[in-house]
Amino acid sequence: MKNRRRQYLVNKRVQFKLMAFSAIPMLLCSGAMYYLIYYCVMQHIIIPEAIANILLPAMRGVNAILIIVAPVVLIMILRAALVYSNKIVGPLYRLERELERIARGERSIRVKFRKGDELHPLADKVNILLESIDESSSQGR
Amino acid sequence: MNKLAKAIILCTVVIPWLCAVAAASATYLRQFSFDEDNALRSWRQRIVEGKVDYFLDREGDNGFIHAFSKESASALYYRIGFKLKEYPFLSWRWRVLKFPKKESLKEDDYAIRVYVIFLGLSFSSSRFIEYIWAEHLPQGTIQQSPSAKNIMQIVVRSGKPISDEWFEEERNVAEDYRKVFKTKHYRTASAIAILCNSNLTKSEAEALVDHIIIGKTAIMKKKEE
Repeated sequence: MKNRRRQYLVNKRVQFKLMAFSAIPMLLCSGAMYYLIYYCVMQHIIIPEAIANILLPAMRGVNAILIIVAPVVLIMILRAALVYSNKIVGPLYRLERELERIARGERSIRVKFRKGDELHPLADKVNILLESIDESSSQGR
Repeated sequence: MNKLAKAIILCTVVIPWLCAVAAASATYLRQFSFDEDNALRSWRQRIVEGKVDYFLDREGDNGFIHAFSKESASALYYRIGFKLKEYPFLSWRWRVLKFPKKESLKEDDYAIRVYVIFLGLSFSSSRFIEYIWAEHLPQGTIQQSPSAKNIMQIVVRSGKPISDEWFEEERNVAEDYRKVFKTKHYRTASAIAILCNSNLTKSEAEALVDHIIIGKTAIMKKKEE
């Protein structure tokens, strides 16, 4: 419980960028797929009365569903992007903070990321580096 | 120059150029006489509401499309891309055997109509011209289809024929396009089609179509001259 995430937005600029990079291509792809299906079906049906009486009512039905479903899906995508971006940006934020404390003289501190965070190998490498610095400084004394 | 290079030049430059020259000099792009037994092989049917019976019929050596609709609507279409600037003329022969029993002029049932389809990127940006044979509308009437405002109907023949004769029609589609859509920016045509329907009037319709020609010049006028 101690390590539970309280704040998902730790670096607005970077996280919003990551969210945009994941949500915008997904939206563009979905829009392109929607249009491609519509265009191909229209090309296939070709006869205007059939398009007007079969395809367009079907598209209106799809649009009515999309008006309700699309915002929900968008919110879910953005939330997933926020959670995932936190797993990358969160550890970097934490690393930055711990390094600041170490620089201020709290040499005993070791970097520890949350379970589920990305970049665990980075924390391990930083900790190895800190150990070796500690060792060399104690040998120097 | 080795043989391979000559063959490549022949395939990529000379043959396409000769084909383009031949196409440019042809007076028509496509002619459908419907005389062969497999004449409808490249034509496809699109059902709107119930299947219309389209089949090849004969009068002596002459073959033609026979359409019979019983409370149904489906179209017979042929995909062909052509530019109206190059091939502005469309001509055909037709004959109506039975008109749908219309109670109102607004009912969109006609014994026979011929389409030129100009598909765009969406339905609303597409254009459609329908040449119709209407029993009750005066010849020359131009109206929007009840289905959509980008489908324009032109009445090219009106009323019941007195005799069993075939009627020949020839339209300058480019001129009609300009007139009905009020634009000179023609879309490339994507297909031509015929439709016989009687689904809205819950009646029957029957018609014959023959000799459809997409041409560069007015073929019929030439014949008359």
